[in-house]
Amino acid sequence: MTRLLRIGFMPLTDAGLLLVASAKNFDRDEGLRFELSPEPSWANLRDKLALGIYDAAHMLAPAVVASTLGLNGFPAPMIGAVALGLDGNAISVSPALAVALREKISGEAADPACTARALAELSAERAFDGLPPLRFAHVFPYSSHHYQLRLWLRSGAIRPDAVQLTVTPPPLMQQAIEGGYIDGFCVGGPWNTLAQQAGASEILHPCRVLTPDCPEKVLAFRSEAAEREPELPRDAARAIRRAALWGEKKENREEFCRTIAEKTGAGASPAMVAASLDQNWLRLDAEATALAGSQASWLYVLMVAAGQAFADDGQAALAQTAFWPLDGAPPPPSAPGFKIAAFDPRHWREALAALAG
Amino acid sequence: MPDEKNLLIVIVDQNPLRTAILRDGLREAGHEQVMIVDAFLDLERRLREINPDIVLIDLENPNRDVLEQMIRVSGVHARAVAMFADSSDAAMINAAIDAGVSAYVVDGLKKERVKAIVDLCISRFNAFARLREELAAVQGQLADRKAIDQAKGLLMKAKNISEEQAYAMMRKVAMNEGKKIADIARSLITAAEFFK
Repeated sequence: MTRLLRIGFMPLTDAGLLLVASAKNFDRDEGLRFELSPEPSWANLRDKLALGIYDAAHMLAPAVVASTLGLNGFPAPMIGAVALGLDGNAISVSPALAVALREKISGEAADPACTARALAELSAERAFDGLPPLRFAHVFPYSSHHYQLRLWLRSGAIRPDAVQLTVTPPPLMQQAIEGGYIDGFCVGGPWNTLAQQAGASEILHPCRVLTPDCPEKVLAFRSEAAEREPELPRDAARAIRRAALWGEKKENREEFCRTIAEKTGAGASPAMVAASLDQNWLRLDAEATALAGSQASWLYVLMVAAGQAFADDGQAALAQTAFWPLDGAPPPPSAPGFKIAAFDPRHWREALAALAG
Repeated sequence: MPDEKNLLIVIVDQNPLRTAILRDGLREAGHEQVMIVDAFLDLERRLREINPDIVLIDLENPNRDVLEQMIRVSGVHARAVAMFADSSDAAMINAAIDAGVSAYVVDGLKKERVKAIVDLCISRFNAFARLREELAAVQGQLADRKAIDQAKGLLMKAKNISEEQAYAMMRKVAMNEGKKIADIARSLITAAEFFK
């Protein structure tokens, strides 16, 4: 007998493993049937999961940690049962800003610290000329996109108020940058590529160069429901891993990419999905589905650095419980440029000092 | 704390019919300060300028995430809370989700006051949904009638019979096959295409 699992997702390339698991019946192999519904906002996913309209949701990894910590805005705690991938975001800028940055860059343009220093110079000049600060959009307060923008700006020693951060929903990024409402954005696939192809923006950095193997989206369940029926999240996790293992095989690659492109409903071509995987911008392989408490702990440190959470040993320990461990997760990013060799949850304050100091 | 009697309410929605229904309902309930924002882009700046007490937004609007940001992170709206996030009234939230409305409310407003406004929105949104269903039904009936008339015309011409006879023929077939006359009419029109 199969068990119906109602799952909400955002139309993004990293919903891919859910879509493939359903299309190729890996859910049935685990006695489940995924019923997938697209949603227009993370807020909707959160609310509908909290109310039990969904049994599980494609969710921003930091949002799950925020819910476990009881941070503002999450009515019911969630847990992450399986990662739906690693990385996948990129920072894009308007063509005008890309030109202005190129004129200022000294050093390697692929090095985010170099572009960030150029941006710092540009921002200082704008302030001197009485121009409003540049505006960059991310997708949600508790998102890796938000923290990646902050890390990038920090690597150029840009003052927090010298660049404005705002939120724009992914499908509106292109219009927003074309309309001049924002100067750059950090978003997941396929939106960077689609906007670049339309000539609206240029991709500056895939976020993997900033935070390699960054936890991105997880399959979230209400904590209470997950604890009541722990086999359900575990079965779903196995179905997701099956989909990833299947996609790893060369002979399945074409179908894997085509399924994701078609089922996502965001207008990406199979070639776009293939390119993001081949260039290693986005990881949807089996290892990328693993989860570890240390990843949640690392996200907690970023939240504290962003002023969203308090630095507290109890909170740091609690954060680790947000993700149910699944063997084989790569270590959290070391955040290059901040002299963190390897992140150790026991020494989270050292990482915080490096990020916030 | 904002004046309970004189709340500034913003409706973020691009559907003119729905916003009109909502605005009229709020006015009838004594809320004179109702503004409609139908822009999708740059919502954060627009709302900052307006500085409303309550924002009502369609559940399908992706800009809900923009409001999350304004409410949780920025200093200006630090006092604001999300209705869904902070209300413990699950029944009301369920009704709101069913109706497709979400509300963002400045903290400090009396819960009962907010509930009254949200309840009103829910009933208005439901009324809108019913209106849309009725409209769809009327349009469906119109399309049915058009198909029946067209099929009658075809039969009258092909068999050289009267309008009443043509209708009676179709009705007989419909009754025998347990189908609607409109469906029989549509089959007839499709079939006639082949004999052109």
